[in-house]
Amino acid sequence: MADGGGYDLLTALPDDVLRLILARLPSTAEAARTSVLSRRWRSLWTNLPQLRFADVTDLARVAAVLRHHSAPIAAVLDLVAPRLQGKLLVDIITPGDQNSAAGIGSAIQIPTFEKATEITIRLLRGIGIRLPPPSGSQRDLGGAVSSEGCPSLRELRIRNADVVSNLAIRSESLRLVQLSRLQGIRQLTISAPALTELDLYACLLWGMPMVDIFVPALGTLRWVDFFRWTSVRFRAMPNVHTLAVFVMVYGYVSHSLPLLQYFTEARDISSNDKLLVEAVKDELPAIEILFLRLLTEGHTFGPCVFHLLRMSPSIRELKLQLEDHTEGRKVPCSSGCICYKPRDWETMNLRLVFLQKVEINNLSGAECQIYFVKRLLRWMPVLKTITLSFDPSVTVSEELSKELLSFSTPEICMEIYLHRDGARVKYSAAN
Amino acid sequence: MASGSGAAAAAADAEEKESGSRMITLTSNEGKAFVVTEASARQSATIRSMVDDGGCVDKGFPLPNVDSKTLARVIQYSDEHGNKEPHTVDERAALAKFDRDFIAELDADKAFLYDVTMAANYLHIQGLLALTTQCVADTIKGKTPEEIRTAFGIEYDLTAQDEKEIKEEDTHA
Repeated sequence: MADGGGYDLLTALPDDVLRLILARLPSTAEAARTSVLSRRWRSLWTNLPQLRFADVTDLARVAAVLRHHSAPIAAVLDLVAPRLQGKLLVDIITPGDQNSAAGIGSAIQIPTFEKATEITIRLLRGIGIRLPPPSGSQRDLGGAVSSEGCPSLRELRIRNADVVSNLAIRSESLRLVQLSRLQGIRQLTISAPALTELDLYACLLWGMPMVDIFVPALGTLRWVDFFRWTSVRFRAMPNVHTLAVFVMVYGYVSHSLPLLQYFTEARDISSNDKLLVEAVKDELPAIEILFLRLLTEGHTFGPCVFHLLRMSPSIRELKLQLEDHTEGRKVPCSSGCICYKPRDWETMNLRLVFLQKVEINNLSGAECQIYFVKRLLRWMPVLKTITLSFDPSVTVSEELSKELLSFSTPEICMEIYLHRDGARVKYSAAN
Repeated sequence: MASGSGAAAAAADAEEKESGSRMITLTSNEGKAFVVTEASARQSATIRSMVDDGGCVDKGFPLPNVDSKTLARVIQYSDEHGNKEPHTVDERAALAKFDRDFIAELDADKAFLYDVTMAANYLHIQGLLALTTQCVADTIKGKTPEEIRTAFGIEYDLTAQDEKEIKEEDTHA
């Protein structure tokens, strides 16, 4: 192959390399168009390790090259499904008219992906894959991504889709599930004995779906979502070592019932919150890394965190992210406020014998926060580092910094970060 | 990089003693020896795993699938990326410029571009393979099927059956 005059210059390249080339085209639609070049190119693109639908216009073109039904996404998925190995990423990022957007918005049937190992579906909010109501032999989304549809699937990520149905994921193969901003779930079931990572973000905000989760091998749980103990059923998760939750310290709940500790903002818990705490104690004994995003709304969080820590004797790392969204509307809070109860955390000592690293962000310097730090430091006999960062809007006095440092011991490396002239700086006693 | 096996080996020994870094001999399918630094050779995952699996460093690595001209060009890339570690913005920019110039030269000689692509694939040099496949993809991008066939000399060999299938696909559209 010298001058390239008449021969097929690419002939010498193995199919693997041609696929690498196709994978570098801007979209799978463009790769799909090469299927009409010659016999060799006919189905090369269908074995791409990753399918990218760069935008809906292109998607329509894929469909034109291939088969075209009322819902080209479904058509493309159908065509690709039996051959796809590895990852599928459906990423719809172009806003547009729902009806013309290549069938999105209408009911499509998700095909069977025998060999897919990773599926990611990300849609623009407002356009979702609407699934047919489960009836007869029609498969819904849950069925499609479960073992019956995708027996090899290890990772599943779905973001911003409308799921107007029950979502029941039952899979022997899944290791990771991330569900984010799914609308319209009526009932969520996840039964995955091999699952090690579960990430749920804003999927349970509407209609209070019933949730049933059986993931005995779970190691990492991120739950940034509503949590109502009455509607969420966890079954034993003895191996959870990393937990990230969204905690509202003091909820504005129906009948203004105060709540001190629960995993997320709950709208109608009226039962004794101890129920949750006790249940968690049984369910999550092996937590090693605890990340709490605390919506404090001007209230003290000491009692709440104390109780969560009491449930987590194996904790090695603690990170608190304080979020005080009160701004103008000050929540009336005084020492008589319910957030100060129960008070046993002020006298009882914990022994967190594995906790070595603590990070607290967005401190305001309020008295109750400083007191919390003081208490916390007594519970951690092997602590190595503690990092305290103040909110950028807070002016931190020399006395306050010194006071904090005085809580520390020579074995502990305490770092304090504050903001001076808009820049985040590390406090050192010298200045 | 040096050539001529005996002298090269001696030079390699000397250099090894001086710099403390090993030199590795790569031999093209024409029997020509190229001596490179280990850092340069390690750009190739194929050679890297052979080196890490122990041994055969002294004997060098025969590359029966790569001719001298191609190997020299591949080594040019590996030297640039293996022997230098860009730290500053300027150094990174210089490396990016090297890549641009490198691929622009290859792009002008398509047959050679494919040889280098094959070698990069065979030797598993990820960066170089990314560079060359992207270059070919850029040629395909935005062209009609007929234009692509012309650009690469692809022979139209679809059968009547294939055409029928394609037509059906199109009419469904």
